[in-house]
Amino acid sequence: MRKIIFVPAFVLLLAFFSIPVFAESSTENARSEKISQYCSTIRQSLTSVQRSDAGTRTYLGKAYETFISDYITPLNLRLIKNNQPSATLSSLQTDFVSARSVFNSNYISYSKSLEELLDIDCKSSPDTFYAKLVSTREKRAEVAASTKKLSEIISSHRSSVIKLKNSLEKKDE
Amino acid sequence: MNNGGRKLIILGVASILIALITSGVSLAVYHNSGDIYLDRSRPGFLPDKEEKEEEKKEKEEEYVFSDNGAITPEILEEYLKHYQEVINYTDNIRDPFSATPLSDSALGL
Repeated sequence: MRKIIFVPAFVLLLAFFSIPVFAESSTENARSEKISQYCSTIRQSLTSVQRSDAGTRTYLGKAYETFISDYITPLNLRLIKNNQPSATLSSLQTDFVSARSVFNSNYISYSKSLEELLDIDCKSSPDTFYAKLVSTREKRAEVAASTKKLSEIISSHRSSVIKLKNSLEKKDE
Repeated sequence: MNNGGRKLIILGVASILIALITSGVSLAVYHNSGDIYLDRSRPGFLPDKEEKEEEKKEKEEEYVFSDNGAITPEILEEYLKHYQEVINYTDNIRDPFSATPLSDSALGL
């Protein structure tokens, strides 16, 4: 009796779990076909992304250079010369320099990955192409995270300077 | 003419020849590499008057926070004003390196 119930139940369970596996593989096949079919269009889009990213990197790089050279560093130096060093602002300067270095290396890694992706023949090797695309996305996400980190530090620096200004105003009163 | 004088003339002529050869090679490289077409210091390629004036104006207006001087609330106020301008400059790029351009939907996959 137990066998009569157990075996069909087991078969049903197997059938239930095998259906999603089948669906996933057909999705992958459809995707591979699309990649092969629209390879040149996809490559054009990626080339456009590459150009746009280079512009973004230059734009942000210029801003980051301005922040560290024209604002953060001279302020800390001036505070030291006035015997008013700020541990918070010094720490933020260190964080900024470190974060910018991380941004640069992340960008180089992402850029290299994107170039390698463009070198893959998506018509003949769609699966390899997609795997590399996934990996490139991860690297892009790392670059995005490092720009967010820099943005946070820039914002924290501003807040700290406001606090410093307020404390000086209180002293003057 | 004595021996020393002759050697001096040879040295002078050799120096001039070397200078001419290296100048010639440099000009050839400059021309063949295509840099000649990018060089904006050439006559006819100089920046427009408007462009020069804009660049000059930008340089003059550029705020410089010196690492020397006093620290007062007024100075920090000025600092913060210009600092915010640079923040606004970076904010022109909304969501840099977002996932969208490499997404399946963006690539038509």
